[in-house]
Amino acid sequence: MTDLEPPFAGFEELSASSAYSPFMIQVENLSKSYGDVRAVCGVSFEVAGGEIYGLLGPNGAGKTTTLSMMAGLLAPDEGRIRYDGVDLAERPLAVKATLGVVPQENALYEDLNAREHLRLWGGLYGLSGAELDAAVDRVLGEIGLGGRAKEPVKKYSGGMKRRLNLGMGLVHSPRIVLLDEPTTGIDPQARINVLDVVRGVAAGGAAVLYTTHYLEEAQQLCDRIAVIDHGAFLAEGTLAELQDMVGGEEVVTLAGDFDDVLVERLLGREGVRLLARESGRLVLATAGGGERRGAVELLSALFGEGVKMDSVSIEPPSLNSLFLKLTGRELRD
Amino acid sequence: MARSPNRVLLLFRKDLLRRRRSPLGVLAMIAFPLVFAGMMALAFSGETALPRARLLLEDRDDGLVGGFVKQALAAEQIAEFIELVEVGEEGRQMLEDDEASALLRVPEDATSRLLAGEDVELELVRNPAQSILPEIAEQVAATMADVMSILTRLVRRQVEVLDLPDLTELESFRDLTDQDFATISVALRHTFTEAGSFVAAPPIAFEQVTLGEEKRDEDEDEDEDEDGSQTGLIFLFVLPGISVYALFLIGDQMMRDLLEEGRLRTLQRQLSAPVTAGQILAAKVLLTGVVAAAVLLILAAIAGFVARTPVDPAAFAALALALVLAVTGFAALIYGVARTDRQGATISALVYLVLAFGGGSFVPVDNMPAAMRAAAPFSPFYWGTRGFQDLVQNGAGLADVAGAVGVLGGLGLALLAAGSVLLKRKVLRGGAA
Repeated sequence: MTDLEPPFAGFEELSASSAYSPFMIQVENLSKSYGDVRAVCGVSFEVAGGEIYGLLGPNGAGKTTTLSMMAGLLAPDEGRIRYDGVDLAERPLAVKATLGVVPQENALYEDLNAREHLRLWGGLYGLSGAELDAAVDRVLGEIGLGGRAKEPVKKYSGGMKRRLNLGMGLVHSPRIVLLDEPTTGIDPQARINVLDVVRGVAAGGAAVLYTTHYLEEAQQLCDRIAVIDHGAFLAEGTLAELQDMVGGEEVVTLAGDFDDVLVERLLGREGVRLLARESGRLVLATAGGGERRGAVELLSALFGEGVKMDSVSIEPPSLNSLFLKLTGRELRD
Repeated sequence: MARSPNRVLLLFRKDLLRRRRSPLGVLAMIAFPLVFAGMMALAFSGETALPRARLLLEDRDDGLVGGFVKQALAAEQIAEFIELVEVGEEGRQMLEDDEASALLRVPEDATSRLLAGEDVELELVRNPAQSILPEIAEQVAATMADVMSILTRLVRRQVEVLDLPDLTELESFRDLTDQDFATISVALRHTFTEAGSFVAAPPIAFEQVTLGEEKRDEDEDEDEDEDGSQTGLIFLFVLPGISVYALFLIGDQMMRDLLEEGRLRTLQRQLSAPVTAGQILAAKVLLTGVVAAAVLLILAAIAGFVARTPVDPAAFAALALALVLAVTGFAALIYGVARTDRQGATISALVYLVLAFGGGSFVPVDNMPAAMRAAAPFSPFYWGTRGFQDLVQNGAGLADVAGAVGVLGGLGLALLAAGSVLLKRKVLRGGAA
């Protein structure tokens, strides 16, 4: 028996198997190295149907490598990836038929139009005839390209290409959707449209994996978020859970020249921890029991001692402050 | 639920659609052999004759010199360059009206002066509005003057030997007696006999010259037909070799697209769908074969139109299929080995140029040194070129081209098998080396 027979025998099998697990995506101990560089180190997570799971991390954190392995484009060195309980490595084509993959780059043909792109991808996923026509019309409406569906892609703006790129991954109504930074480089209006489409997909019951380096997107969109850096998960949970991990600490970033004696004295204060110290920059976490009292007391002490500072910023508990707390770096860096 | 469409055909259709939207590369490969073969045919078919200069002759002498001039300019060899038109006083006006390249005037007393041993000056008036043709007329007139100078010496000797009356003292030829005319006629006959090598036709042949001109017109028509036929023959001789070369370039274009798709990330996107690397590769091989076959058919149709000779369809089909296999196999191997699409394009350009030159696509193998002739059969271009030349020019049948079909087909299959293994690995890596 071939791995994939139209109309995707594996699809029914995979659908039936979903009854055995509440999670449609199960990733266990996933690892990948390039020579001595460990791109992904033992990543594990699960995503349920109707859930949007975010992978949040800076560029080079290992998000795309993780997603490439999950899309079957890259073989992992270790670990397992299961969709609806079926191992991707054992039934790659049957599993791929249930996935909708939206890559980071706009993988489009400049000479073809939106309708032709969607028809091609719908066809590759087994759609044909009236079913394909209906699917193409539906997606064109969702991504807002119905009016320009017959224009070649080379005439599209960056935002339109992004939306088409998204639509190609959704035309076959996949039950599992993998999106790799789908809003990179587009205008706010197009971003809102993309986020709305993703919410709609999840509302339809699909399990969505969403990678991004935008804090706001992760906070607004994702039900659960994994913070990833250097190929490893630093934290995972809902937004509220992650904010709790910050522990009510505020992150105080001071710019200026600070000598070792001053830094030692600051760290000697109760509830003050050093997050990072770089040339001309000092990042501290302050526990203050709310209302920023810790930060206020710290600054009062500094002003009282006549310490000169170029600038001061106080970050309330957030994903960025969590990232700062965990890595000593800002996510925006 | 409807049966799922064949993924290979879907991908093939996608590429075909892309080629239709951007047909320049394929069209260039169709035009290239036609233009090249056409240029070669025109360059070597001899259709380079200059237009004839129109020379007006105003004969004020109406005597021997005028007759000589007319005869000389009407000679077949000169008539190839000069169209002689006899005119009267209107000649000058015709020249000013740009109706001729030059006007040649024979002076009124030319014959008398010539026979008296004096110099005779022919006047040539050039048309300043033209450049090359008056030059031709002048050169012809100068040559004719040289010939006449020789004739003059011959005639003068006859006059001296026969003790003819002093022609210069006569008012007119009417003053000569019958005896004088008889003597002069005999003398001139001797003269013209001796001058036979200088003058193309005897005076008595004037009418014949006129007829000869008509005959020459007929001959020219025949020459034109021959030239046209010769052009067609050269075109058909050159076209197969260049067409084979163009087909390999077409194959290169199509297969290169596989690596380009890797660079554009569309290949990875296909691989994230339920599509195998083998299906993607099969679609590209199908595309390469179909486009190469289509180009070959177009070129063959044009060749057939020019040749107007029937070609054995079975032999053509077999040879075309074998050549398409070879084209696809070579392209698959080159892009299976190349690390990037640009590297593949460089490799193929060099490899195909060497193989095409060595295989006789550009220069006939028979004109090559012995060592190159011996090496030529190692090039697929040799078999393709020779096979199609035999088909088009010699009416070869299936048995005649069986050798070429076997070599091209076998080579194509072997290279396609090897190239497919390499390309499949490359596709699985997303088009990267």
